[in-house]
Amino acid sequence: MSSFSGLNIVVKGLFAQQRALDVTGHNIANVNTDGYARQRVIIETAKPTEVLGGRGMLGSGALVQQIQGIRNGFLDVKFWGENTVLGEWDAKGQHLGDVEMVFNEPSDAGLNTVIDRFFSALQDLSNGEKASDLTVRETVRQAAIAFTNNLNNMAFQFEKVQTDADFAIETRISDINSYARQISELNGQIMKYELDGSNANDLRDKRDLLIDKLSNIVDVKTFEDAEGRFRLNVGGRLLVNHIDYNRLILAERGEEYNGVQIEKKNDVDADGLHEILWDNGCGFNPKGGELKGLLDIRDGNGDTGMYKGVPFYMEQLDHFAKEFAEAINNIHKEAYGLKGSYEEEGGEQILFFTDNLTEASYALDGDGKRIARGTDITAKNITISKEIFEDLNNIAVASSYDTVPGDASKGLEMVGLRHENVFPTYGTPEDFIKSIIAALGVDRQEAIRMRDNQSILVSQTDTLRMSVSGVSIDEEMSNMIRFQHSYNAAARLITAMDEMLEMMVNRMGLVGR
Amino acid sequence: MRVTNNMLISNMMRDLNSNLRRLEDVNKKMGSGKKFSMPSDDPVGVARSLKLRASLSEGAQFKKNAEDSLSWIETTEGALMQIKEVLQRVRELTVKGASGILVPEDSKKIAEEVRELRDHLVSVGNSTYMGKYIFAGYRTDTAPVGLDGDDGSLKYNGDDGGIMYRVGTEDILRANFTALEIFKPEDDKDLLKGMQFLMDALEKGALENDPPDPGDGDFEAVGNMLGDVDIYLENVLAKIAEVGAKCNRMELVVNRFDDEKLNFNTLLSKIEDADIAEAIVQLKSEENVYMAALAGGARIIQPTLVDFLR
Repeated sequence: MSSFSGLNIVVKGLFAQQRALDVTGHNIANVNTDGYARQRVIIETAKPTEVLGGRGMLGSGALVQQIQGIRNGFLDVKFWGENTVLGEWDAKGQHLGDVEMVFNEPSDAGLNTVIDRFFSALQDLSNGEKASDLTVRETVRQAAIAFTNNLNNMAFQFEKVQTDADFAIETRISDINSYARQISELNGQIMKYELDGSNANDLRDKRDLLIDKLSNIVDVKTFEDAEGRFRLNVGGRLLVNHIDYNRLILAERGEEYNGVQIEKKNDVDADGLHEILWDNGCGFNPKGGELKGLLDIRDGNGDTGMYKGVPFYMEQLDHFAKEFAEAINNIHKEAYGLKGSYEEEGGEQILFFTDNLTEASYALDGDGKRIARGTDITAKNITISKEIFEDLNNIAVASSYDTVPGDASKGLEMVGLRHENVFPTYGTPEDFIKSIIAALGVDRQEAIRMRDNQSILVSQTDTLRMSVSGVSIDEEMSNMIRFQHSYNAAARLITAMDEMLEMMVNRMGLVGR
Repeated sequence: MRVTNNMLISNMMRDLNSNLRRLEDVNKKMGSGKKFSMPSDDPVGVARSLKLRASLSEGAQFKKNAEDSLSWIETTEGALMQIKEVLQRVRELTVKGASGILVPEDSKKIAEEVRELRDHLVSVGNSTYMGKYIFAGYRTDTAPVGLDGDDGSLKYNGDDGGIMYRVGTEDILRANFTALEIFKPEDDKDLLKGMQFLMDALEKGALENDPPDPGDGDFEAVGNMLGDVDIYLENVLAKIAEVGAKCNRMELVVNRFDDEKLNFNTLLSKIEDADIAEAIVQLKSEENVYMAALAGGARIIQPTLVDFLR
């Protein structure tokens, strides 16, 4: 045994405590770093030496075996799963809120109010003696214009909600691509640093943080094999394969992409929406996350298995505009306005609502009879007819030419539609609007409830994660004291040994000098 | 469980946040006075409120229609009262003319008066309301009552259309009579023709005898007219009674919708309006919770071991 071996032991101890203090410092420095998992120094005893003569093993001090990041992989996976669900419902709740804004009910400016005003004006006109009153006719025309404008505006707003969702999807796709690139880069670095068996804790933290963010956008699934190669699936397909990654691309619907025609999803859809594809041309179908929420909102038409997104409300509004206009038109075209006799021509055949303001309501057939034209009315294009726009006298409420001007029985019939089942499964026009709005309310309520519940789950999981991985100042402080004292003690030991050596080297053997 | 400082802080932030959200909800209720502002706040409530609002505005429209019909009916009633008075006078004159003791001058005078009355009837028959002829059926733009040049019979220019008012979901009121219904209660009974006949009979008595001899008029014919005049009078009285009944009914309708409006408004307020007392209590209690959370949080997040190490 050398006289100096004791110093070696103590120096190892000093080094070990110093490392531990360094790590404590790193922990404290990163107490507020997103995604940081606290680290701990694993110190173990150095290889002992055998004392000759079978008198046991002599310890040779301490060594830093590794610096470990404290993480619970199960909690990460759980967090990602819950976060994906949260992202989906959060997006749905938010965008259904926009849909609610479009309906603008309950208020004094919603669809219900303009329908009510239209019927009231028509009702005024249908009070027999007022049928020839041009001021009352003007009120009817204005109320009808307000009604059609409201529908046009709503259709426009719905398209905007849809294109907004599309824009959010675009942003999210570029986020995913950027995350994929960063993760694949990190994979390479982690692999390199861990070749010698150490832990690339901080890099792994960064990677997990990226996946945390990604998990809000889309469903994720991760695999790491024994060699440390990391794979990441989103939407059931491989996004990151160790140091390679696949890109997601956006192809405009209604255009060709790589020689393949990309179709519009729903007829009512706004132009220029995007289809998400993998860069190899395969379709991309997220199973959760904000992206799923956005896609459901943008594309969901409420058919079996489909979410009731914006297209559903667009279709319903179109259906409403079409059926309502047709019900009014069917009565109106058989009725007579204030001017002209067209009995031989098969009646006036003037429509009340049409799909454009420039085309006449009727055409003449071979026998010179008027035939009302067919229309393709949607909420977007509904307008009053050219004839009514040009001449108030063309508003027709009389049942025959002879009974003008006092007869308003057809007008009464039109007003009567208010209480008729114009919409077979819903009932009256107002019932229809009411049902749609109630359904929307229930859907958004569900989305908000799901989001609230889910955010509790997410934060609970996050709390658990923080409980395991978070830096506790108290703990670090006491560790600091602990390591400081150990360091001091080791240093003190050196002083003691120094004194011993002093004694040995300088004080001994002085006899006879 | 291991608890870290950041856990405390983020939990506290989350709790404070949800407290604030509840505080905001109550505040919104107080500020707007409404329980909900979006369908998703209360889908059922919103649906019911939409329905009630529609019923309310429709009720208001029905009430307005009933009031409009009342003006029409009252104009009709006024015209009918005048016709009644004319007919009563005609009856008196008929009785007088049939007495057989009239000198031709008197007969002539009576004939003159009957002519005046007849003309008055024609003008009453062409009464208007807001420029619309009220006895013309649908032909509200054409004077309905004219005289046939040959025999002075009614020349009706209107049709049999009804001026309708919708005063309830299933309740449509016909507010008008046609001149036909008033002046020609039966096919062969024509008031105007009858009056022409009366004039002719009276004038004949006055002309054919010179010097006039009391009792030379066509007294028998005049006397026979009396029965007809009674039929016309009864007809008009019946119409007046009908108008009165309609008038009453419309007044009831107006009252009913006033009541309905009150009921619906009460109901609407129950569905839509926030209970302010409850909201204030809720606000206070949420405020207390929030304050407590703030006070607690301020204590929890501050101290760490650092504060106690030298």
